[in-house]
Amino acid sequence: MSVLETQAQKVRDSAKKLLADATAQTVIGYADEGVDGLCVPVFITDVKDVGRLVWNRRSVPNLASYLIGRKGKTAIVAKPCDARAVVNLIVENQIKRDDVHIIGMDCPGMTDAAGAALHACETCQVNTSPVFDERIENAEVKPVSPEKRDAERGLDENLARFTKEMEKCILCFSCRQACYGCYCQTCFMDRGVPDWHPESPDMGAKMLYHLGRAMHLAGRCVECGACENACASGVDVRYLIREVTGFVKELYGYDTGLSLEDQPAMLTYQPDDREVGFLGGEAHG
Amino acid sequence: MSNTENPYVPLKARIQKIIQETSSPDLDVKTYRLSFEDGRSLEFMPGQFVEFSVPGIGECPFGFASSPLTKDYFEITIKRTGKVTDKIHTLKEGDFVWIRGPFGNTFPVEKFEGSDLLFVAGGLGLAPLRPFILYALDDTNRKKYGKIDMLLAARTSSDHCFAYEYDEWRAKGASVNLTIDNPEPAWKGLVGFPHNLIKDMEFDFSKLYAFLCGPPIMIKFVQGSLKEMGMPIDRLYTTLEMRMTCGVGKCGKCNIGRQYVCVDGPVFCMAELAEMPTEY
Amino acid sequence: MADIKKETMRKLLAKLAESMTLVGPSDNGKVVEYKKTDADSVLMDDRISYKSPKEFYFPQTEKLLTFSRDEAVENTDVPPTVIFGAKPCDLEALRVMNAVFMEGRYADPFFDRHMSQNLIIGVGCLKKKPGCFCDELGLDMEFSDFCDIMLTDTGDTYKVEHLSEKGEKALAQLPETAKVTCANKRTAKKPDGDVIGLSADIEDITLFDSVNWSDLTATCQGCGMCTYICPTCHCFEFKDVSKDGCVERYRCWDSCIYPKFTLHASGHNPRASRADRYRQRVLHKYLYVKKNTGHAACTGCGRCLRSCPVGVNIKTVAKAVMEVAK
Repeated sequence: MSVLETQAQKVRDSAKKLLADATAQTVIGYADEGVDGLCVPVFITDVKDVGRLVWNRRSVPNLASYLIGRKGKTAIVAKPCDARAVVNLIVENQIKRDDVHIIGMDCPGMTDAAGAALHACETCQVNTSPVFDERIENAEVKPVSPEKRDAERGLDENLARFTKEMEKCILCFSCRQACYGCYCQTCFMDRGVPDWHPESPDMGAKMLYHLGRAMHLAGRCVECGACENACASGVDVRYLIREVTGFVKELYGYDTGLSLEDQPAMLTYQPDDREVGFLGGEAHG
Repeated sequence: MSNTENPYVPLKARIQKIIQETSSPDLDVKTYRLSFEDGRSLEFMPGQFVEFSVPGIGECPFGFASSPLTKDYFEITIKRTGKVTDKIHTLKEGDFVWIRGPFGNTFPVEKFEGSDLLFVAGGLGLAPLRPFILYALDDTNRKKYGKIDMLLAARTSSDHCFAYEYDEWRAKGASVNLTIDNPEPAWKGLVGFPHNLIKDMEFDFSKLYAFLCGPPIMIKFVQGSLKEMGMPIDRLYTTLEMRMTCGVGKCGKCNIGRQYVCVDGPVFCMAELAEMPTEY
Repeated sequence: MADIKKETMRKLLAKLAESMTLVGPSDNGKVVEYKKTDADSVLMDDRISYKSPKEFYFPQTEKLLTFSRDEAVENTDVPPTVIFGAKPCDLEALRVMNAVFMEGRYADPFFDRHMSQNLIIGVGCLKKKPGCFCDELGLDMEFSDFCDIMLTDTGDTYKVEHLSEKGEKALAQLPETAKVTCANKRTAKKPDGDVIGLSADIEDITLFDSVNWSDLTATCQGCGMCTYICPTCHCFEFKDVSKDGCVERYRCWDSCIYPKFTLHASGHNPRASRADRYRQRVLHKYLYVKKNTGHAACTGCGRCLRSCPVGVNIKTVAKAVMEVAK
């Protein structure tokens, strides 16, 4: 049996036990029922259905957002990035620690239909869950070399790259909907008063949306890549957010979703914090 | 059909007159008397609506509130509730707005000839019924209809729309009963909700048609009372409100099941509604 | 029918592109897009674009009016466009769109203008792609007659037939293609066996209430991607834009998957939950439009199945709904 299949069997065994002894009312995991081998989210509430649960390199969707608003204790099959999302949802008081049972999967990285590593997985630094109730190990999982952040560009160059990337964007907002962190009841883009959304999918609207979203995700992105996986147009949605995440790490030494005790970077202030983020503060660099 | 060849193209209309209908602070209702700048009149029948634009702000559907027999102008009654209506409420007499329409179906007024009519309205719900009321009370039509009864509800005595007209309606042979939710010192009308009060009224159910318009909860309860009293639901009518964009059955917003409120409505018989999904 | 080399087809497209905008499938390095292109680079293989050609007859944003002092002036500026490489599912979807916009009490003048300005060249599919299910809906993946010219890919050549006068005139622009006739005009293959679909006789209310919509749509994230890339989704909203002191009114795509779509100014929302909204999408496609136009508004192109980030499968949902309808 392959290491992945062993992990999958452990997921099923665990789900069976959790449901049987009523530790959890629901197990959220993956089923192999999508097009092109994509695993789709599945909610298992009955022991007799645990056979539907799978785990393979196409277990792509981030399941964390399904925890918001759920009643009863829920177990979640969590890739390390999903687990980070769960941790951050707990830190941000969207869910309670006691309501969730994290089945932390050691993750070999996910692939697309053709078997190529997904963009976010290529440079992933966290391949075991930082917080879990049980860990399902995979001895073959090895750390990847650290992601090199894009060299800083000038304003013009940055704008040119943004413009080129965003030509493909059709402003469907699926990146937002797929994002665990975009849980606002009403997104700023959907507000009627003031009316932010220009409707016409021009560069101004795209800039407003993507820059707005990048700022809202400062210190909150867990680098799961759900946004770019959701994009049907092939936009590198995450590149701006990667930059912002990089700044947050560099300025405040903060990584999202690694610890339940951490205070979110943007919700705390230390006297020695760099003031780059402040209006009228020092210039970056 | 629409007033212009392209149903999306509105015509410029001047606000002739603005009438403040209510005076409660949280219920701000005004009636706008409009006429087209190019002099043409808007031919419509009771129940229909227009799309009302303030360029740069947006467009909203509103039912006609005036008599279809008046050719010099038409009236639209508007409550201040959102972005577009906020803006409309800042407009003054002499200002311009843009109108396209009329759209939607109509009350089948000829079908009701020879019958008694009962109008039950809650608050602003009287506005879409008023064209039919004025049509039926008009000297040319009055003898076509039997008894005309009204039960007009409002939250307080200052919230009755078109109150300046009730005496004229009475003079033309309508029985106009007014009610408010809670007692007030100088109030001479009824107090209480229409679904209770209606039980004290007498009707000849063999020849009655009733028209209900107002908050959904009021419609639901009044319908229940009338059914209890022996009224068949195929003689009950209402008009629905939905979010709409186009008014011509294309934009896909206002459908309830296969029916589009903008072309198959807004007037529906209760018997018809009973067969439709409850998605309104 | 006649055989024409693909190179000749490129020549014809180049000729047509002299006076018209050419749009067709093209590879952006990641996915196959449908966009403005040129005769040399338009794709002539069997791949299917992630979006349909919908935006070229129902643009994502389209100027309808300009308000002047006394008049709302209609925008009649529609660029003549050659839509190359539309698949039979796209063409059948166009048939549905045409019924929605042009039939009934009102015809849509803007859509009409696109239809009269566009030259549509369809290409039959050679094989099903993952997620495709046009055959299960009873449609022919090789052929649709809702276009001006229909092509069948035979490798280096296309079998060509024209299905309209507009198509015939277009082919006449090049000596090599001028002689194509429609003598052997085909009709679409009829399905054998059961197809996915609902009878138009079913009452709206039956499926509205008795299907477990919450369970069927539990994983939907509400992104609305499916409605944007769907070739038959046609819901829209108006948006006024002030430009240089002058107001223009635009028509923009909207989506029944968005909560704002049906939100009343009062705050009341007739479709408050995600399940309510997904129900509208499914029943509108398979039942309501079918009742109103005679055609189901799904042609099995599979785009929503392939693009859904969480693999929501409308085919599975439709089948579950059919079970209840039985």
